[in-house]
Amino acid sequence: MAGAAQRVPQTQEEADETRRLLDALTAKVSPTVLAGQQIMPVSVGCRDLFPEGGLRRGSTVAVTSPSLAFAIVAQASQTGSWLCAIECGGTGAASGALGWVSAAEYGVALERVVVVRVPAGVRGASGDGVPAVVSAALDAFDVVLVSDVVLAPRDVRRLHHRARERNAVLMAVERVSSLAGLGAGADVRLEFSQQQWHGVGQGHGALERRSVTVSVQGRRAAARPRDVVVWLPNTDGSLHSDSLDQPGSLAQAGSLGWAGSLGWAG
Amino acid sequence: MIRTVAVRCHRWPIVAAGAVDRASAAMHANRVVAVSELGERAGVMVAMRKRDAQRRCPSIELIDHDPGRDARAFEPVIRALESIHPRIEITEPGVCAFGARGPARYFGGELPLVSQVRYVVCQSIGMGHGAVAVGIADGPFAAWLAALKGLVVPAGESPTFLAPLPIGTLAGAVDDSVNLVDVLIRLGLRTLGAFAALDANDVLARFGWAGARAHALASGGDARLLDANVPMPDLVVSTMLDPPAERVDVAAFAAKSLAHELHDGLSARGLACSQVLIHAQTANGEILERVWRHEGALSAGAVAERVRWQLDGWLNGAVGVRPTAGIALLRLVPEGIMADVGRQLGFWGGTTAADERAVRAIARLSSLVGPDSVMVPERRGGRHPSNAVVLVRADSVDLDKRVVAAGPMAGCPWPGGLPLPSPSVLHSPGVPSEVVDAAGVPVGVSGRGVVSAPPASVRVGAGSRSAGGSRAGGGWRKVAAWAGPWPIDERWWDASAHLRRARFQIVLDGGDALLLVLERGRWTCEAAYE
Repeated sequence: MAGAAQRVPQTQEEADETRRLLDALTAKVSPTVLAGQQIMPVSVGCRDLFPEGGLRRGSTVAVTSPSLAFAIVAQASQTGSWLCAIECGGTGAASGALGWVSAAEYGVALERVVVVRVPAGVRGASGDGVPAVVSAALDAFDVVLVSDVVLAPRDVRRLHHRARERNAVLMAVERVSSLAGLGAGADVRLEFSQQQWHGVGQGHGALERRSVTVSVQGRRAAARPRDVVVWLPNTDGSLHSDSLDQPGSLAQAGSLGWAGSLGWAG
Repeated sequence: MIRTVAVRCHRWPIVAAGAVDRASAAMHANRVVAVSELGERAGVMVAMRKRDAQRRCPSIELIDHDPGRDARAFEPVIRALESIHPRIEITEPGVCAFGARGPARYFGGELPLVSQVRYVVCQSIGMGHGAVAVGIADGPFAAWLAALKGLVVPAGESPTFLAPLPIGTLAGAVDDSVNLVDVLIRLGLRTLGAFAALDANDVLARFGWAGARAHALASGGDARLLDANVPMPDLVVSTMLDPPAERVDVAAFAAKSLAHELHDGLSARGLACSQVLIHAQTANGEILERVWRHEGALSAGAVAERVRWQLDGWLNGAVGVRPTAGIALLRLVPEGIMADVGRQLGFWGGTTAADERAVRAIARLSSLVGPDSVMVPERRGGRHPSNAVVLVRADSVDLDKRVVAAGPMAGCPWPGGLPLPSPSVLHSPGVPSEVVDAAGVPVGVSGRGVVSAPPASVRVGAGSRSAGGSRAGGGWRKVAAWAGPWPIDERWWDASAHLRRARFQIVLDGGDALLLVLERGRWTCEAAYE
């Protein structure tokens, strides 16, 4: 009883202090959307890439590597977000399609993936039909992945605005870096500045893991350019930011060559 | 209790595919769904794996199971049966049921009716009397089982007929029946009679709605009326197609939104329907009506699928039966209306608002870019990453209950597959490339899988194609590390599908890694680890 009596505010200052704490508590338990819910989770290794530690809903991300894009969206996809990948056909033989086996290995839940291949008839000569498709996708999907598309700057701005309005993440995969791409003026731009594969030697081993130096640029919170080292993938297919607890793993993987782990695939 | 005639065509997928006269099997997901008589004589059985079937009967012809084709081929049978009874209820392609009372009186008894039905069906599919089984009993469930044995169960004897049958016959008859049957077997209830002997109230208390329904079926009390009451008129949805739809796609697209409308109307009243009558009318007044039965509640997508099947059979049918004009009116009449007992959302996951939004968006995207261009990934097997997951049309998949992990073998290794990680960009077809050793001589692989010399330089997109967008495109690049060759010799027994190739993983100087394939002396870049 004595302990309970002590908590009764005695002075005006104490009463104000209690009220302030209560207000803070009310804000925490209120059913409105909190800022934290505006961030979609990303796996541990990718957190360093984003100033907020996750994918901010309504933002635009430009990535040069499909595998990095898969790694970033994997966690959101596993927690129930749908992913729509829009492939615009690109420039013929050399463009290539996204590898969904690889996406599954990075942890993307394939049951929540929809792939749209915009046919040439809809795309038109200068990509006229693409903005309509992308904005229809932004209306419904949490993450929209658009690979290799060139649009007019006006359309790019409009689509960025659309993503902000619909609280979706627009991710532009631009394997060929270009100024006219959908990623122009993105909130976060992730580029590979250096990559090194481990596990493969001269005629032995197999690709196993790689360390990638990602240069992060962008606007607002990401305006200060940074370099982040990530493992993509790690040996278990997962993704890890390079941290101090595994400094030896890089040297070890490189020197051993993993000749023993392969076996002939035949 | 309504006397019901059930008609089953044996091996319908085989009959529909026109492969009765040889050893053949319809396959779905690597399992045999149906097998022809010759195949069965060779020892092939339903639910067998493809490889086992081929081992027992190497000459067997494998047909892809196609429910659409089965339904189309069943259409003439239904049309023939309509000379006996105007309302035929289709349970699934190859199986249908209708009321026995009127026709039995007309043909002078149930046994003459059976032979008449058998004659009519055999005429329409052009096969002997063994191809079809007809049974009569009280209620559709008992009749369906009677048809399996080709029996006429006298009126009121259905409980006695059902009692000795194994409990497994309930599987597929009610929702979640596989689990129910499993539990009942473990409880020691191995026959329908043993289950029927339980008190109905106890069954309801323990197994809920689905259990009570299964209990009613097992005790011969299939309460569902074959010809349901006339529904409340405001539940009927219809749409005029102007201009009339000549193609199935157009009509099916209209049917899809119509099915959604029907679904919304029902769910607004807390109802569900167990059958739906699809009424289509052409501009010249020809009418085609079909009742489709579906155990449990029909989802909107399931209704749309049935509309597509039915119209497919009609619009693309034989010249004599094909309508003379496009379809001008589509109407969906829900039948067998019952209170929707609802579905409990799973505590962990289950359908969320995001899922429903995504499924709707797929319809929207299909209308923008065409249904062929909206796809979802599905796991298949294969040694190449482009085979292991393939893209299929989104509207051919039931997205509500989607599980991508394919069967018990998912996650097991494919002998001869590529080591993980898989490439993130696939080139299909591969980009022609050149690989040379330090002396500038093209690298080859001998018949024993030995590489002629270590590769030193690579050029992807050789010749005029070097203008391609790939980062590796253009000129020669040095090889930093390489692994291989991993030879593979696939389908050597089939000259047209034979693949003999050696695969290499090559890391270029800047750190880019490529999957290069040597086949018949030609190098191609098939994928990139970007």
